Amino acid sequence: MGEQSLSKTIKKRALAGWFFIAPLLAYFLIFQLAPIIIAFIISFTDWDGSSADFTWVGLKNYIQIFTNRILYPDFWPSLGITFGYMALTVPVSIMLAIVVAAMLNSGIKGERLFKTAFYIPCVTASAAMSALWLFILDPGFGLVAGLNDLFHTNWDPLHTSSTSLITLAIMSIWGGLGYNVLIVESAMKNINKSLYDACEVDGGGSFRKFFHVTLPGISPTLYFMIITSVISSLQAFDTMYLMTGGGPAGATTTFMLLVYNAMFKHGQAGIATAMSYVLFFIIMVITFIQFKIVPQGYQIENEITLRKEKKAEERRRVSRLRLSGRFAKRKGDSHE
Amino acid sequence: MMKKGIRIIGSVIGLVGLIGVIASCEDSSGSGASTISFWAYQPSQQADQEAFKTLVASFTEETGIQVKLNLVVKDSYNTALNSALTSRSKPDMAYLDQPLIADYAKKNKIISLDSLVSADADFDSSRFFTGAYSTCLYNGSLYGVPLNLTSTILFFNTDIVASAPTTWAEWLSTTLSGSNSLFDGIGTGGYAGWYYQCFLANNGGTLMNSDNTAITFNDSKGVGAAKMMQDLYTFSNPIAITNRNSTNAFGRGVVAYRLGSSSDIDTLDTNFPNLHYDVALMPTNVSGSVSYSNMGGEDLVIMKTSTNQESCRRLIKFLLEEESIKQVSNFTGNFPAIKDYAKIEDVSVVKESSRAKKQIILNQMENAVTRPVIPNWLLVNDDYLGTALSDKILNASDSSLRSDIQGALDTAAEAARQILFS
Amino acid sequence: MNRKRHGRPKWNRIVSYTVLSLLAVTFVFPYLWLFSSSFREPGAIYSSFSLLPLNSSGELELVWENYKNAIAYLDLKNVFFNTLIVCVVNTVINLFLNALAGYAFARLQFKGKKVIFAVICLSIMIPGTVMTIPNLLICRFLKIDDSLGVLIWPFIMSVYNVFLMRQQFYSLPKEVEEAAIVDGAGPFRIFFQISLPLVTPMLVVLGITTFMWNYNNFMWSLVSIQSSEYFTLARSLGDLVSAGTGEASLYPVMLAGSVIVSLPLILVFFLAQKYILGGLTEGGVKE
Repeated sequence: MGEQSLSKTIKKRALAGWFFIAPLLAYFLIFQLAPIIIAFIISFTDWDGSSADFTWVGLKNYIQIFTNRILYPDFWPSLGITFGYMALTVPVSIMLAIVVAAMLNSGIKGERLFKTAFYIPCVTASAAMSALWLFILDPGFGLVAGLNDLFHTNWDPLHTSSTSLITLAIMSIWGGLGYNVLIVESAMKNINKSLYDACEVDGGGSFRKFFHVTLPGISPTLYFMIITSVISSLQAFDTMYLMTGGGPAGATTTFMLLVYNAMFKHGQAGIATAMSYVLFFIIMVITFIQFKIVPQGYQIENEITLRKEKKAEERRRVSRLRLSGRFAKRKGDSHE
Repeated sequence: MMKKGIRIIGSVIGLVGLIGVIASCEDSSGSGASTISFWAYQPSQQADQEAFKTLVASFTEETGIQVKLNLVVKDSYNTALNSALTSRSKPDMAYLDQPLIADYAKKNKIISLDSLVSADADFDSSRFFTGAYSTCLYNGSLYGVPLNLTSTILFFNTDIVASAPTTWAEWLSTTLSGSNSLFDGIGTGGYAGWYYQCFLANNGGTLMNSDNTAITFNDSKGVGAAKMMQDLYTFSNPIAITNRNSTNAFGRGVVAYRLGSSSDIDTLDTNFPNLHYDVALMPTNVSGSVSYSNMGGEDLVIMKTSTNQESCRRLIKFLLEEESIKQVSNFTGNFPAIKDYAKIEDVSVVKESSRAKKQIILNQMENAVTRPVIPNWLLVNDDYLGTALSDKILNASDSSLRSDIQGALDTAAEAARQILFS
Repeated sequence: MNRKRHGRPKWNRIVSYTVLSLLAVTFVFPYLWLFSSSFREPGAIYSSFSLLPLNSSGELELVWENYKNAIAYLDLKNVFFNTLIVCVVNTVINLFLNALAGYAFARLQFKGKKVIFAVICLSIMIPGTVMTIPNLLICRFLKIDDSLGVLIWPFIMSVYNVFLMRQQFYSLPKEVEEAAIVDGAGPFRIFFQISLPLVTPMLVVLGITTFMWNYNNFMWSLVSIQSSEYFTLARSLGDLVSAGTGEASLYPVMLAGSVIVSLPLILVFFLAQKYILGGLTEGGVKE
């Protein structure tokens, strides 16, 4: 192997890179970029989603949703509700997933059974699950009624404005646990076991191991999960639509519920896309802030990679010595 | 291992390609010279779905016109219909909820039936219930044909209330005991708007003026109607609030009154067979007046994109025949829109004793008022009038919102003005 | 991790078991109610709340009719076949393409890699609802709407899957690949024969989640498919649930339908778990 075949290899691998992501790019252009642009254009019209004609209205849709408190009284309140919902669900669901995954990962029996149990809500049709929860939370004859009789209270979590959103948040955390645990636990299993042994040798107990080995080890995945959870919780819609339809006096009217109603119930595609772009903008800003404030995700990822690099370097040197006859020059080896 | 992997992937891609080819060859729109695509509400019972198909098949036998029947669940019907209008499988004719006629007509999604109807000597508009027929008229033209309709009546628990009230004063002075409450909820948003007319009309008020140029539901009669709903809700009684938040409070026998129509009778008979209840006409607040109520139902429309208007007209005519219209009305639990055919003997019931109850609905239909035939009315009803009622006027926790009925209705009226008249 | 801890209290384990069991109960209990109520008659469900299928007279009675009706209502045979095709095809294509892309981002160097990746990550920030109608227009333009294709093609790529695959490939040791490069193996062969097998656990996990996502996809089917011969389980069940919450006598049929539709997924999940756990103990990531 000489220098020529080295650069050929680099070129071949670069070309392969493009080839490998070609389907992704094609998909992105057709099914992501094109719709985004189309939606953007729609937000400047008064199109209703199905008619053949529409008129250009410029910024009217945006101005209306921001300023017309008569026609769009829920716009600002729903932003607040959506953010509140996000603040309730994201921290709790991620922390719960970590704790549960850690427990499952500590070598207990029945891991499979537990994980399957947690995953049940994810596989059951959400419509059926919400019909079920409506039944359980019913103040007249559900579990709630039974508890009320027992404790002589008058509690109605789903239909009281102050607690309605929290109830839906709990349901969302409950429903998403299976998926989150799956991802976190799989990341945990990927952590090098010898790091745990090293920690134990250094005199660390289970808490130490958890905070110094497990958490940093899964941090790239965690980081990813936080960002995606924030993004998806800001788009919360399903449970609100199925269980409260916007809640007692708009207490659970999240932003996407407004968008859905505008788009599919009232044929206001222009308004709906304008609102969606406002949300898109907000999400972009938040994600950008997250990247700036919490760069550790990448740092830690790099550190782990660096550590592995060093070990790999050691092994390479050893294997080189073993196969010393085969390659004369290894200087200038610029592989990653 | 790799060869096997490639083989698997290759066959999968081949399968996909095959599916894609087959699927794209499948032309599911009724584009044949004598095939029409007909969308209707899906009957909830499996047997009724089969019966619908059989009915349509008999039409084909009679006329040779093929009909592709598409039954869509009522909840998703409007969404599905809207997105189908520009798809490959667009309908030629379809059911359309009464209040949507104006929207579809204005947006040119359905055709005017004037010419088709005038060419048909048998067509006689006076055979239809006046209210139902009026929902099909937009800007003076006929855009649909009424198929079936229903109205709202008063349900009362005979263990709690001996006889039904006929005036609002009587209604409010019902004596209750223990853990019973007066009135089950009327729902939120659009539902609240739907039932509001049962009170508004009985207070002598209207939603809009006669030529749909002004909003009138925030006048004194409208406020009075909303006040009545508030009074029925008896917010001073916490038991009433709990009962209303619970589903099926009326069925479980803890509530004295509820509103409902034909399908609610069937639901109660099925789910709560031991409940003792009866029905009556809506109480009125105008002394000496008849009892009014709201009206809803389905009309048949022909889509603008259809190339088979004549075949559609024949199917419509077929569906309006006595046997067909009775069958089809039973599928949705409503009554035929043709007065002569709306006979109580032909209506489907769960319990025979409920037949007399459904007769009351027929009686009520004689004085049922419809919603204004103006584009965007449903938007006003669901998002502004309905929410003004359910979120402010009937708000269980905030009494300051409850106290300003006029303000809530004024805001809704202003929104309606901006939407309907801009 | 099989080292015995001498003299350490087992309270760790006890706490874990207790907490996990309590949690698991809250998950299983509603499903048990769902399962048991699907055997009851319509009148009985509202008259008494019970975990056993009691009828209105209070005796144990299994109403198998509900399941028969559910199967008929869902048109189970055709719909199941459709769902299988859609889920399997989409999952296989999705996993393969996303693994390819993830590998490329992790291990291959090409110009603009970082920029492309950042732009692609942007796409998860777009609220899904707004893409529905434009995507519908595009599918109609491509003439794939109202067919099984419209359920497959718009979802062959998933940013989440690409990201997680990239993560996995990053964490693989490089020396095996480098040895293969030295041996003259092309990038595709390396990907296929070396790297891909090593990330199988994650592949299985993503395979499960993608399969299930496809299985439960309802909203898109509602707007893009009009003909009932292309319905999937999610669509049929969604219709049944709408009908069931409205029409009293269908409520238990709806519950039965929900059980029928979700049971295969639970089984698949349970079995796939065995594969993941098994795969990790043999020839997994060793250091």
